[in-house]
Amino acid sequence: MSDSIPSTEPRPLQPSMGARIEIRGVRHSFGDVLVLDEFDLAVEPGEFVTLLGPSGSGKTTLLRIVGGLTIPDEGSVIVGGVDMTLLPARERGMGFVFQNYALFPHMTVDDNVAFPLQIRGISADQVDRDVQRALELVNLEGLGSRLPKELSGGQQQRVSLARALVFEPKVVLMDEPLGSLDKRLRQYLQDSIRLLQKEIGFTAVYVTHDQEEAFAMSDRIVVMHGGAVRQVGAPETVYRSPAEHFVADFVGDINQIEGILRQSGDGLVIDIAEGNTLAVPAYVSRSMGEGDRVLCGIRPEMVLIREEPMGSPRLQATVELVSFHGNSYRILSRLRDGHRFMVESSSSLLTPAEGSTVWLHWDEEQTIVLVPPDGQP
Amino acid sequence: MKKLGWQRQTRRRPYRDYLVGLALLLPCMGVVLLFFAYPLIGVFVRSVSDPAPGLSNYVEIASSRAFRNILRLTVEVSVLTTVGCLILGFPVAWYITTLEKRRAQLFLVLSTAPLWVAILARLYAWTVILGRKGLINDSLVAIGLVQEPLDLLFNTRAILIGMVHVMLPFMILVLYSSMKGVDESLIESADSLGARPRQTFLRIYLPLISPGLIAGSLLVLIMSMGFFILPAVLGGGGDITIPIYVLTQIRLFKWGIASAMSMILLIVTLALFALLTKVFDPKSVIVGGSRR
Repeated sequence: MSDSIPSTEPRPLQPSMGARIEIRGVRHSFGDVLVLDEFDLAVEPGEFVTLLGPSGSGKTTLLRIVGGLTIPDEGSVIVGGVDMTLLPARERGMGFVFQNYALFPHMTVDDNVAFPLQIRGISADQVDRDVQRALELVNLEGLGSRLPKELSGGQQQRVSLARALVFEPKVVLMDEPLGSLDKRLRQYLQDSIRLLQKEIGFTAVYVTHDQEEAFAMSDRIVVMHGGAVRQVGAPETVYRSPAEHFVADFVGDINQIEGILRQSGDGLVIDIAEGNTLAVPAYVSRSMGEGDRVLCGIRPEMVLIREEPMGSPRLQATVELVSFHGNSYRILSRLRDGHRFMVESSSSLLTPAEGSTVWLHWDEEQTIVLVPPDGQP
Repeated sequence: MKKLGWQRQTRRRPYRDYLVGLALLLPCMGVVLLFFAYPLIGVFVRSVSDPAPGLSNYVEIASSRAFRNILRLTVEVSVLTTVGCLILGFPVAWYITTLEKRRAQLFLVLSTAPLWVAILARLYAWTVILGRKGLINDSLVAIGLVQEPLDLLFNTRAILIGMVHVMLPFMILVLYSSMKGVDESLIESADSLGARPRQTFLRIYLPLISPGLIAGSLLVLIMSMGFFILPAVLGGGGDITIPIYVLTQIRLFKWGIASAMSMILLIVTLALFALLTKVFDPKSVIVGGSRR
């Protein structure tokens, strides 16, 4: 075994290429409940992919299947060209970071991080060096002799991260690792994890229900709902061009206005309130005809507020509430048809007074036209 | 004004909480002091003062070969019972933790069902099973495995069988509750970090349930050390344990000797207790090799 050769240099965590993950036709159910249905996904080497979805969307189950903690009913998981579907977790060599940290409470920080190395029969000197290096990576030098319960939540999660990285896995799986931390710490750790991942180069699959976290960290986001993929794409794509109503609604704030398709000249237009018409995107006109209803989504930050009408599309609204959020104001207004409309406006701009009547404008091309979900108008 | 009121309240709280806590403790403390500490002191005083002041009782016991044998038998039986309960109870308790809630409850009730039957009934049931004309001997003779009935009853083995039978439910209950408390994600975590099942068991699982191992063993051990009725019935007078011996001394009105023996039993039990906590100390259980 190679570990019998004493190494003189302190071995850094090698920048290594991550492994490619391929999930093919995975289906899994708990009892009668189908949680994953014919799931396909490929993650490229060194890519950071986030599974984003509400609870019950099957994202954690999928992560556990990749990690070998759950065996799928059907389908296969291929990592680095090897079919690992039936391989137990211990033989997959992946790092797994749990939401509750899962640190061994009876072991010190050092012993926790050393555990994966010791069971691989690595020499004590080497273990010491690697543990030291891993703790430095997560900025926890000097805390090695503490017990997990003597650390804060953020520190515990960093130990858990160090433990998952110390044996240099090609794939690291993270199940809502920052879920129970406060916002500031979460942002700090998001950046730390992303920097580490870029530096080391492992393939990362990350599970979260927090869309901001998904946006901040990922190369690609997989939006999941009801055990199936709803959209896969770069964060910007998912945000700006959501593929369907669920994605638009789940990812970020969005104002929804009903529209009806109408014949106008030689083509269809979308008729929304107050005489505004919008162009119909190709994917909508392909499947729908005159008289069908659509939803028009407008992101709050895409809207400009004016005291006078200026071009179209435009909607008249009454300002109900203005709230300050540091870099922006959020302006809650009410349209003439009674619907609420949210506007997010840079705090460097002037904001209208509460109770005043304003005109809301946006770039027609930034309208997100969606087919309404079944059973809703 | 409002702030002042708030301050006064928070300042008074800890003291009031303390008083309430004390009041809740009092009944229990009273019982312990009155019915345990006081008699124990009485036993100790008697052991060094009856029939004459001094350590004569202890000297007499120490020089008695018979007592040493009795002490050895008592410890032997108790330790073996504990080990037996651990070996038999561990898999059962573990199995119950793997069941879903309703089945687990059913199995727990079933495994503790013997506790509902009066102990004497259970012991005499064993005499029926183990006796010379008992179930086992009759069967063995009938199928021709043995010519003469075996001596299964009224010996150390019979005591052991009975002891394990009586103590096992306690061990299962205690082990189960500590096993139930083990966070599944810790086991999965060890698995994902590459540990083989044996390594996970020795380095993670055993240390995590060590409080249960200690508590269960302690319970069984202490109850076994002081068990009177069981060795009396199944040992048939041939195998004498300390509690039986103490009773015979009391019948002879040798209160001093009986008290001294009780004290020795107490000390030996405490020593075993100390040994036990050492054996199952999470740090010593780590057989897989701790680094530090």
